[in-house]
Amino acid sequence: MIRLNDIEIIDSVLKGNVNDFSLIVEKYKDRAFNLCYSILKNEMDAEEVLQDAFIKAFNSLKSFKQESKFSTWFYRIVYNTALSKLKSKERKVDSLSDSIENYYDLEETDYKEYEEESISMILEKSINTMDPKSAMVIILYYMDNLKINEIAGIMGLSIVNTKVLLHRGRKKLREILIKNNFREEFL
Amino acid sequence: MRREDEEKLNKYLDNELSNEEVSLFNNQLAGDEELRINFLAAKKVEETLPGLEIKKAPSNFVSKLMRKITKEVKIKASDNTVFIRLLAIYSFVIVLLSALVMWIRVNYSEVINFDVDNLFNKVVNFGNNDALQMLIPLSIVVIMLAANYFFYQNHKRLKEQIKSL
Repeated sequence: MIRLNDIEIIDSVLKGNVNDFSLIVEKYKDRAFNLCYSILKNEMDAEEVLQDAFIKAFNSLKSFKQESKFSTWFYRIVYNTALSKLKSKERKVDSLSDSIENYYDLEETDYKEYEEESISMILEKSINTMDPKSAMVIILYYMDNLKINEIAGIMGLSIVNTKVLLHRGRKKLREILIKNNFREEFL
Repeated sequence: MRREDEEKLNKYLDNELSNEEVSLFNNQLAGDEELRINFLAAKKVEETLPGLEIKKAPSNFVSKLMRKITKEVKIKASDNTVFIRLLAIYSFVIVLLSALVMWIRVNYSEVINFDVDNLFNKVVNFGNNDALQMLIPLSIVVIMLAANYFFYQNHKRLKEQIKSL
């Protein structure tokens, strides 16, 4: 079977082969779903946002300039769509919290509940309770293997701010491991 | 942990320390238990994160999405076709009506009391030139139809741009 690259698939879709778009969907759906979930913390919302993001990408394929990677362009759509959804959700929980950063603040997390779990499970849970922007940076950097400048491009941030988020995320995850009785393991 | 140690640790993890700074950092690690614990925890985080299982999209996601996209493409295509057909019918009716008025005017203006001249003169005060009297309203109709079409296309494009933001 011939493996087409993203640009070849996009060219084919633009020529009218709409079904070829499924190749793009198949390739990016899981990574993008993971990103949506890291921001929205809810599977149903993540699926809805991911559908919207793919439809937006499909409708704007003509405007995709091949100067950047398709993945970067698409992740940017995913990120913006998820943030819009989050903001509309935030309005609903506004009366309960001052800001989204406070809403997801790990300082309030009860570390004791992690005691019996493995490091992977702890980190997974910690990312899911992290503020959306830090979680997004951590996932894109460590799990999607993107460079800082690519992440900054996706999130519309400066490189310095992206690094700050990365360092903040790292610190939180490190502190959770230390506070969660893994201290002995490191000594 | 001290702020400068925090910065050093991050620089180490980002490979931003020179060889000399790395060896200094290693010496510091040997003598500072707090820093060592943080360093080892950070290394553990670095090693574990790339292997974490990702949340996967539902198994029927692709088929559901492609059904939606195909439906949308069909609706868009039919919207366009309906508009173009309506435009064609509208233009045809206008041309037919104009031809009918012209024909009545030429053949029956003296028989029936139908003052077409006055009607056109009120719309465009352009003397008694028959050809011009017909040409101007027809041109206006054609220009309006074309303007309608371009307005509709621009509106569609704008809607898509807003949607893609």
